[in-house]
Amino acid sequence: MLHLISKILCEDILDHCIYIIKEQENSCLLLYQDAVYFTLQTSKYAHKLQQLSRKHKIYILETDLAARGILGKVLQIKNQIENVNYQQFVELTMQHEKIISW
Amino acid sequence: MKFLIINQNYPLEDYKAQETLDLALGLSTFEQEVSLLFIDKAILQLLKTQQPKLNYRKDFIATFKAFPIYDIKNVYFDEESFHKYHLKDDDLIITGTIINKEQTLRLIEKVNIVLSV
Repeated sequence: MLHLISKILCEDILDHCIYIIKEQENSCLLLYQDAVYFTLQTSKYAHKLQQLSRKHKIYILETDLAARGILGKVLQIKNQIENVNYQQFVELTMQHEKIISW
Repeated sequence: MKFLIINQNYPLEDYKAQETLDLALGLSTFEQEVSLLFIDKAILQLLKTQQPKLNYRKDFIATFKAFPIYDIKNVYFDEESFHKYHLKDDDLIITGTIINKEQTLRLIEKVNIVLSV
């Protein structure tokens, strides 16, 4: 299952999402648009995201990082938290049976 | 007239950041005294390395550099927000003064009109 977060509607949205992802074995998370700010190394979610990424992959849309000028300031862990481009984004949506947008 | 514009939005989420900037420049063009305060995530509007074009938006961020030409000198950053993002003066496209909550209150008392966006 692929979870997508694009906007930060309320501060706790990532908490809800992480809670649900943890319950599903093959789930992963993709952050794009303003949600990429969650992955800043200085964000209060940095630790939670690192923990989540041990069992569930986290993808960040690279274009949105570059647009916001924060490339190089976000979490990156090989095979756990990685940047993707639009093409890979589309491929992910094809690989997963269900897609939930938060 | 003295205006204080309080910015509270992400740069690219919607058009608020861009329109607020246009507002500040417009007010200044009509010879009003404009001060700007950036709170919380609005400080991210000023990151030097942004490229709005990648999100199909006009590069309005570069326009912040025009403040001196428009005679806008009073730019303030909320202390807590500045430290929350671990920023340095070097990261931002313009310079400003970091102020705490008490100084913010005094600033609000000094101006005639406060616009909070």
